[in-house]
Amino acid sequence: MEKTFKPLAKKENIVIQEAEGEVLVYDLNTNQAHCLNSTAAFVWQACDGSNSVGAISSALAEKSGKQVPQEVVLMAIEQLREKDLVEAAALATHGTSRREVLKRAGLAAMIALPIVASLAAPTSVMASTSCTCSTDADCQAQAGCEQTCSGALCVA
Amino acid sequence: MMPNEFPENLKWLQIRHLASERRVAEAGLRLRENGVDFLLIKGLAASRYYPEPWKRFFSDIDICVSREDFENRTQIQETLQGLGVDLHCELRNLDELPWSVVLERAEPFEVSGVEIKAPCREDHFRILTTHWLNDGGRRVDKLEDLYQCVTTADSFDWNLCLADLTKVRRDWVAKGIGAAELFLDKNFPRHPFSKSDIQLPNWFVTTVKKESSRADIKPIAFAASLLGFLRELKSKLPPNPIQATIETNRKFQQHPPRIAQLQSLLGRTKYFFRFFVLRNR
Repeated sequence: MEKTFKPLAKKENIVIQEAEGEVLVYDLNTNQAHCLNSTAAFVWQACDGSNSVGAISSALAEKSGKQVPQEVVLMAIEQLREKDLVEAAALATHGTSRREVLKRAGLAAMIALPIVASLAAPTSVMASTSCTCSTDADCQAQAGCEQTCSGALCVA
Repeated sequence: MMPNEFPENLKWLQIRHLASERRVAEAGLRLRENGVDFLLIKGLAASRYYPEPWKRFFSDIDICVSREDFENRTQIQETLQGLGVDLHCELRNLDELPWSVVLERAEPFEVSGVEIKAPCREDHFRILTTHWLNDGGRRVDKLEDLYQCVTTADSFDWNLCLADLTKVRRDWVAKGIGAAELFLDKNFPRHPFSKSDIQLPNWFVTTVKKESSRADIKPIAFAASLLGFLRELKSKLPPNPIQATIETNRKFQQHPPRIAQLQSLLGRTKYFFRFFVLRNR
């Protein structure tokens, strides 16, 4: 089941910037920023709804020249799903820990484990945001504000 | 290392800037589709003066449209829904030149493949200065916009910037330069003002220092209850003298502008009570 599962990345209203060895992703719907390391980024970009987990794992192995167990791809997909960057799929939560993956594959032969980290707005930025609004979307467009507009202010 | 220089913060600022550019481009496309001519001011329009634009954070997208288009603002606001746009009727009190003149000499620039127009630097400088003063000198860091606007231009035409200005507006530009030089500890090259023109009154300096050390305060009109309204009102007393000078369209004097402050207080109280009563009806 997992091997044939074909994940689909969310690409609508998403802004992407490639940086050194990682990809920065900004979700315009949720106003959240994330940083994907190279492994997570490769998996995310390969999630086009036509590549299975097995195929992504093979492609990643070919690109890196290293052994890539499927658990690595599943681990990436789980993290991407937590951040709402892949469509909420039918795949059950896999729950593979980093330690288990390392045990199974062997540390030496492995590529970097996937990491999807959320980036928080700098405190100086949050202090400069007015959090005034006329619609919920105005709140969502402002960094560090609550998401709902009530009485012209963004509230929880 | 400044807080904004931490690697995680820089990454956030970079991607956030790109996201904001996407929003501006989308707003531009939607307005063009609806045949609305517009100018982008502050925010992204000012960030492009910086060597690293993404480090100059902005939240709102300030878009100015003609008075005729603003009369259909409900329709325009619907068009721009979800983009965090602050829509303005021409340049409000931020400038006194006719809208058509500022629009005529506006500078086009590309944002995510979409052509957007902002006032030319000489016009934008006045707008940014007035905005900073109108904000009561609260954000010293925003003075950097003024400095970058002038110093990163191939040639900044002071004659164009100051042509046809009243003495009052000319004084505001001079005080903007004075404030930027004093609080940023930088010198503006080749501006046409004398030392006395740009010298700030003591009360002005005290006000900026006091305001910049205050926590962010909400506009009174946004208070959610009568108690909140009164609390916000109290926090704004006495009225900011820099803001009061701008609101009452005066030159900056050596002495604190008590009459302007009183006028400002009366005007604002009238406006806010009307707003509060209407909103709670």
